[in-house]
Amino acid sequence: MTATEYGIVYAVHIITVEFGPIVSKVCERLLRKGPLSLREIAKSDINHNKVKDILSLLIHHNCVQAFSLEPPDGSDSKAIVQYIVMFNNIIHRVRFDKFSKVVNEELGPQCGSVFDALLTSGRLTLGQLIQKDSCTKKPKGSKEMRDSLRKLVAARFVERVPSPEPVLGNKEGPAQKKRGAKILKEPEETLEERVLEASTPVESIRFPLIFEQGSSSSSADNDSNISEGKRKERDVDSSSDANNEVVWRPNFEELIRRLRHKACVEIVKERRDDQRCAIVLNAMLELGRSQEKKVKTDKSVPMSRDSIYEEVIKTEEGRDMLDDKVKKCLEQLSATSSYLMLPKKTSSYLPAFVIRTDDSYIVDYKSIISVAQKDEVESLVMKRYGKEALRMFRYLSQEDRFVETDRIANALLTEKKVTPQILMKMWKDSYLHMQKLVVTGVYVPFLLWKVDKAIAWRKMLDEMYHASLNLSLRLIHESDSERELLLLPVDKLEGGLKNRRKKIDDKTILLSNARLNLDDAIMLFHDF
Amino acid sequence: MAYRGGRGRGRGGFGGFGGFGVEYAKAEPFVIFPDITLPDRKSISDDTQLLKNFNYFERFWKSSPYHLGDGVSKKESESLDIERFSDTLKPKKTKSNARGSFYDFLVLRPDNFPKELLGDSRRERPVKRARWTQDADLQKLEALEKLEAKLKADGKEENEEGEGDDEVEESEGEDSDNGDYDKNKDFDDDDDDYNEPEDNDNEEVYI
Repeated sequence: MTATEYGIVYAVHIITVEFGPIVSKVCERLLRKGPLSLREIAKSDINHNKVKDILSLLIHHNCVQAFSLEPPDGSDSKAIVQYIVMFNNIIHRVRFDKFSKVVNEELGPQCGSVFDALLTSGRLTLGQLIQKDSCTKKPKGSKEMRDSLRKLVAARFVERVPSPEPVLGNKEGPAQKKRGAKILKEPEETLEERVLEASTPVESIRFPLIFEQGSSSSSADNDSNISEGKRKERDVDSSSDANNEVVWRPNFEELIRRLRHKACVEIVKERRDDQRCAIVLNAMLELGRSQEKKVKTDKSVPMSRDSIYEEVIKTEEGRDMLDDKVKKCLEQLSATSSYLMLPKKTSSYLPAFVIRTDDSYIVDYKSIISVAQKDEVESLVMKRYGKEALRMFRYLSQEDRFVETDRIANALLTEKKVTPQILMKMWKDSYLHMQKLVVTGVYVPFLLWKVDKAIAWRKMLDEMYHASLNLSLRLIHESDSERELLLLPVDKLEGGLKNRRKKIDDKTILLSNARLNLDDAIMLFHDF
Repeated sequence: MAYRGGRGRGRGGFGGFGGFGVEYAKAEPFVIFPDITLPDRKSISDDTQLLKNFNYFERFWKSSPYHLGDGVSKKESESLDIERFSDTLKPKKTKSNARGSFYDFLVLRPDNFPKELLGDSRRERPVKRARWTQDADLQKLEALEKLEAKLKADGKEENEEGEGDDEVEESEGEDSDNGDYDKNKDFDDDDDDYNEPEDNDNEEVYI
């Protein structure tokens, strides 16, 4: 999905706050014009050397990736290096607190602090981590740093940095292959996705310690693989051999996957009466996680009931569950039903969250995520356009095709004069798709309406970026207006100043929490 | 010709602005954050730990070496103190970023950065001596002070200290005042406070 207008403005705002306006200038140029070469970026009124500094900074913080396109066959021209903004990684920057929480909960505070160092520094070698640790008041020591890093890599939270200049093959090459294939299932990848794929190394190089552990236990590996693993082990361990050390960075893909799974469990918890269904789902997600190829996968791998049961009883909440109970939960999850959404008290159709095939069960991510997305959009339509509009929106979503105005009015028993007005309002804000059908002999053309999910969801996402931007600007404005008060020590304030300080603190907490909540919704529409 | 020109100008003026008496835009007072209906406060979930992490990261970026600002001018850090004459006596801050160049933290290798950014001029810097935290400077200052006290007792002069103090003073506020006073103690009484010690090396001293 290409970035929306407010997505771009929001991303530029994030970079401005964190790195300064001169860096965001380059970023904005890349976001608006697409990938550019160094020369093209320097055409703006920024000094050429300064552009190099800025690009180095952005690459170091994983916001920009360099790549080159393979010159056409037979051409002698050299491949020009271009720079593309990794839009997703910029938006991830406001989620570092959530990522940090995931790591702390899963691996503990020692790994958490190493991970925080990686988040703030962008990229680090083990040597740098050890050096940084030695500068703190209570250094933990190099062995502790090494162990923490090892655990982080094993859990896939940390990865080796991608290839700095991958070469992308010509688009004509793969297109020729596609002509032969009859069914095109995958939608065309964006350039950002192609660059990301090309720059990501293979699993064994990306997570070298895991590979080294795997090779020692597997009998199929040949000698060269094992010796390569040992060499990598030496690379990671030796802090004296600084020039060959692996450079590490946070693996946002895995972190988003974890957040996605957490969100799915929450979605099921809110909508199923039996809370143990959520525990069973959680177990299924834990089980299938390591085999997921990409984050936005529609379905999980198939799992047998026995393996699910074994995973459930490992957890604290699921320890007391019987096999029979697990079976019942799975049946509930595989069934469609209706549920009552509180506090709005609207009833809604609920699809199956799990697909049952013979003896195995598959988690249907798409249906879980789409339920939550639908609820968000419907809640917005309800608040903004009213109950009648919501009924029309729901009707059109279910029909999933073009419907004429009068037909909508008949189906929902709404007034024929009011119906087109309400529909127009939603269409103006891009939540509905409209087509005019001109029929000869009829003076007024027919209006056909449809809910186009892609357009409506994109509009929703754009509005959420806009809202996040506003929240951030408001917070900055409030903090700036009380800047002098915030510099004074809290415990020495009295009377009026103390009240003012309390007020600004409350505002900060509320605005920040609102932004964090909104970010969950952004992830629901963009990353999950 | 003048008449024609005048008529044309007049016509243009008439047709362009007040021709129909219609205002092109309504003049509304600018409100930076207009009032809107806000959602229920209680509907926003509150996670204290998450908020703490969020604030930690926000604070970090504002004071990090990665913040390049507007890149044009080196703004003086705002201080609530009034400007004093004695500020002119302090060693002037060098043009380089007081926080330290962010290049100290980058691993400048071809497996990490594209070759055209590494270039010929940027030699592979050993990743050492990067100032990771302000605490490190304070620790260094304390260690240096201890060393200075120890050597003063031995009766030797430490020349390196002067340079170390200079580096540390750039990033610290009030502590640098103490650094100045300490430095003055070591110098001979004959030395002029207004001149840098190095300046005297090559110049002839006229008595």
